[in-house]
Amino acid sequence: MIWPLFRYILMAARRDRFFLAVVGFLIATICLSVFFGSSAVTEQDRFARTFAAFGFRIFGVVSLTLFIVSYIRRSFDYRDIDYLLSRPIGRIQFVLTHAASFSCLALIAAFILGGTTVALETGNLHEGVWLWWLSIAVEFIIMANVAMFFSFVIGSTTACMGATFGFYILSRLMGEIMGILQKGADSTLMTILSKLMELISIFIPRLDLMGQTKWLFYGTPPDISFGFVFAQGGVFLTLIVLATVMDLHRRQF
Amino acid sequence: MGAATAIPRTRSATRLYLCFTVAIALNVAFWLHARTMLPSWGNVPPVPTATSAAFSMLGDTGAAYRMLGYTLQNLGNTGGKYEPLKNYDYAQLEQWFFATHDLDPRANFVPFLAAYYFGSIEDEPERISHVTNYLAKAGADPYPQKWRWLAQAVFFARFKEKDMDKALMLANRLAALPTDLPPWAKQMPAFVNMAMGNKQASYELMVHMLKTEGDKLPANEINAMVAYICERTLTRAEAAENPLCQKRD
Repeated sequence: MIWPLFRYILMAARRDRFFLAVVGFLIATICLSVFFGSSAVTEQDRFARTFAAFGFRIFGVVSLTLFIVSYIRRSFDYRDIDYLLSRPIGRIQFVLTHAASFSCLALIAAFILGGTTVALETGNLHEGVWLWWLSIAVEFIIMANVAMFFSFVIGSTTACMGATFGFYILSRLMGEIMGILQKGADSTLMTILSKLMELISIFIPRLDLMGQTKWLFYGTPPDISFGFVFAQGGVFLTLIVLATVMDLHRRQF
Repeated sequence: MGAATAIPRTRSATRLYLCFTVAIALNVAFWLHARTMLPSWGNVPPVPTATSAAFSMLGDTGAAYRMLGYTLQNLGNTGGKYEPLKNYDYAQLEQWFFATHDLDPRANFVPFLAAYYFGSIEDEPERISHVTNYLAKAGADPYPQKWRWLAQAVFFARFKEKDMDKALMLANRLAALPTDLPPWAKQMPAFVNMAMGNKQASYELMVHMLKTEGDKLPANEINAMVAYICERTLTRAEAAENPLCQKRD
């Protein structure tokens, strides 16, 4: 039952024109990036590549989130989940199959979007380019599973999307927020809020340490390695997938 | 199929058409009032901090640098009007330069803008001093070919600001940089003390830079330097005889 479910989800993505949407975003992003880049007085290629890499990253997450949230919420609304769970598949396998399918979609999106950036690389393909591509893939997988988690937990499509995008923005800005927190607070209220934020930050991945466009030009930063990216992906994916399993496990159908 | 018959116009339909006509008339009246209200230039806006700029691009400092650089490039272009450089608040501009420097100290886009665009203002020593301060900082960064911005800063301090002490201090800083400098850059303190005019000095600096660094610089920057020599430094007659400018034509 695991393999048919896996194929069913990938077919749903094809039916929903997910791959077409990714290619559409790709073309639109390249056109806009080249347009903006060519109007810079110098370093036009760097402008175009920065804007393209920045746009691919955003649109990759947006297209994955939109598909996953709408797919799962539709499955709940049309009782597809009830039907699938009546088949010979356990709840843990059910969640793990969904996680694997969505991660596979994330990898395909990263392959298309990240691969285009690598193909457009006019200089030599140094380690920074590969690190950028890998971190984009890991970020897409994390966000695909976060979207899955919120879709299982929250009952409204709009709220799911809001929660996923809010989570994404928080993850991308976590480094800056931590920097502000560590500067210290000047009042009791601010001290309490900063402690609260620090507590929240334990459960938020550091996506600010992934996919930085600067890596495409200057190589890998001294404090981030391939191992770090894999470790962050592994640690956070374990947490989010287990949280989804626990939610589905205690749910009454 | 019979011939189409006109739907009889009822009183409510007439009222609807009347309301629609009034709505169009209101739109036209509003347009007549608003058409002369064009965007006005409020000079260089307050500078964002590096943190807030990074926030606006979701923590991607490289993209934030490019966005700020793009904003700087198009600052005075509002509603099809181009503000002359003498109207810019250069003190505020300097803060913008430093904000971008915090985001990406390796990139050369903003130093290029500062040196060849904002630095082309004439007879404004106070204004140019803000450009010099930034170029002096950008030129001291330990990345390849960065020192050329410090050389520009020396030139600005000596010939545009006419501040000999500052020029000599920057020239000494350039000569002492722990990077592989061409001989002429190491002799910058002597260059500062030479009794030559602004144009001759500019010509010497640019030509030396092209000769020793031309193969390492981006094509756009080389074009900008050649244009600066042929269009701003030399007269039309001098440019016509100069082999560098002849090659360009």
